[in-house]
Amino acid sequence: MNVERVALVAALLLVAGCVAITLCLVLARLIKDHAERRRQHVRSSVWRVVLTLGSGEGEEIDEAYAVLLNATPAQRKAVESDAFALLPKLRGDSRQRLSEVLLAWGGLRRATHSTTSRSAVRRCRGYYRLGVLAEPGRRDQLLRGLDDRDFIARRTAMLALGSFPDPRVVEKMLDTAAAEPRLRGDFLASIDRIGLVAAPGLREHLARALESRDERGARRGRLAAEALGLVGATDSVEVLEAGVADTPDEFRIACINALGALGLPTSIIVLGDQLDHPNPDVRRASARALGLIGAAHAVELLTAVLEDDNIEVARAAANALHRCGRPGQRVIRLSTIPVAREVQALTSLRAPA
Amino acid sequence: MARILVADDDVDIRELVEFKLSTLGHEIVAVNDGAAAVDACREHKPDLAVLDVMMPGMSGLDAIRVIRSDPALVGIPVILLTARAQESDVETGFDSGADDYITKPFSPRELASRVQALLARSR
Repeated sequence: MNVERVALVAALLLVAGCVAITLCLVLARLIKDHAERRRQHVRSSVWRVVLTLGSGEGEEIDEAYAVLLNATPAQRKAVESDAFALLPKLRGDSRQRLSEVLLAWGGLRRATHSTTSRSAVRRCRGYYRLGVLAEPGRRDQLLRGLDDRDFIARRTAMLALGSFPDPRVVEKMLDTAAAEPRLRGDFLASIDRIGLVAAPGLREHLARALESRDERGARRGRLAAEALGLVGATDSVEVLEAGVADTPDEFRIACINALGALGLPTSIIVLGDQLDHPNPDVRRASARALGLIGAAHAVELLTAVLEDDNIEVARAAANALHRCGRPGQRVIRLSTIPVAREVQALTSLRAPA
Repeated sequence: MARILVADDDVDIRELVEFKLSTLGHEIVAVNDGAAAVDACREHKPDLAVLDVMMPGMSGLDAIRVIRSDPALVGIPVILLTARAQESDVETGFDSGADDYITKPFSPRELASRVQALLARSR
């Protein structure tokens, strides 16, 4: 057999291989499209029942509930993913009933199983679904998710833990977010959903951070302060005010922001003292926090900062004065300082015509 | 029966609101962003609009401002349906000209009651 013949055979084999692969891909696509069409066909009728369960009245809901409990495996498969997506958007009875249907379909078991998958996407789906169903017995599974090897799975587990109004989840969430700053936003979003239940744990961490003064503790303390402001933990004012005195600037700013978010007029004196701090970021945060409190008592303190050397501090003071009711707005109106004129101009632009 | 505009980029919410309001006999015009909501208001002249706040392109708040500044649309009652539940968000919503404000997660039955009440008041 000469070289030319070998080349010809090889080329033919290559062409045949390419054709075979193309045919396989086309076939796979056709099968997938067919399966999707079938799923859509099955889905359209069952999805209406799910929507009835989610939005109907009295007997309609009972009927929809019974129909869904008796759904065939194909019907369940066609709507399960969409039902999991719909569930967190509902409130009240509708949510409870849909959750019961998903549990009856074995959603919890499958979600738990998914969290052990080798695929990060499946683990994320598992964590997400465990969060949606919020079964207390699966709390530890989600806490283990915070140590997952993939960031996206840790993030999903962090967000899912927001469905557990349980003080026992706070410590691990705080530790994870302190060790991995890119989880900060997700941590705060979850704590916001957990609400005041998280406050005692956060307060304890903040107090501990004030004593320890190491970098990791300071990061935990900053996050705890931010979270306490977010959940409106007004009984944490004392420890937050302690955080404003004699602490590193970033820590101090977090406590100042939290005091502003809590909005208690009793914090005005502590915040007013910080308007003389050498760091402009601290002064700006204090001015902003005083604006959030918005009390007339803060007007005198803020007026003095309108001429601060740092333009951002002065601007924060002008915006804060605008939030301090008529006395503050009067100062802005009568002032000729550029930042005050700027706030006045922006206010008139925002006012309805 | 009334014509109601529903604008939400979340397909689950849009389907749910559309389903609930259509079972009450209303005609629904559904769109997925603020600019399309304004266009739909001009084209269909709905009796009421349910708008999400955070949508791609033009937000629900911007859409309300456009609706309120157009003499032909100014009277359309608007309900904001949004995940933003803080006091300042609600304040901003009402300042923009919304007639009602519902936060997500929401109860479709409560939304339907508010729609009916607002329609009754505007007639």
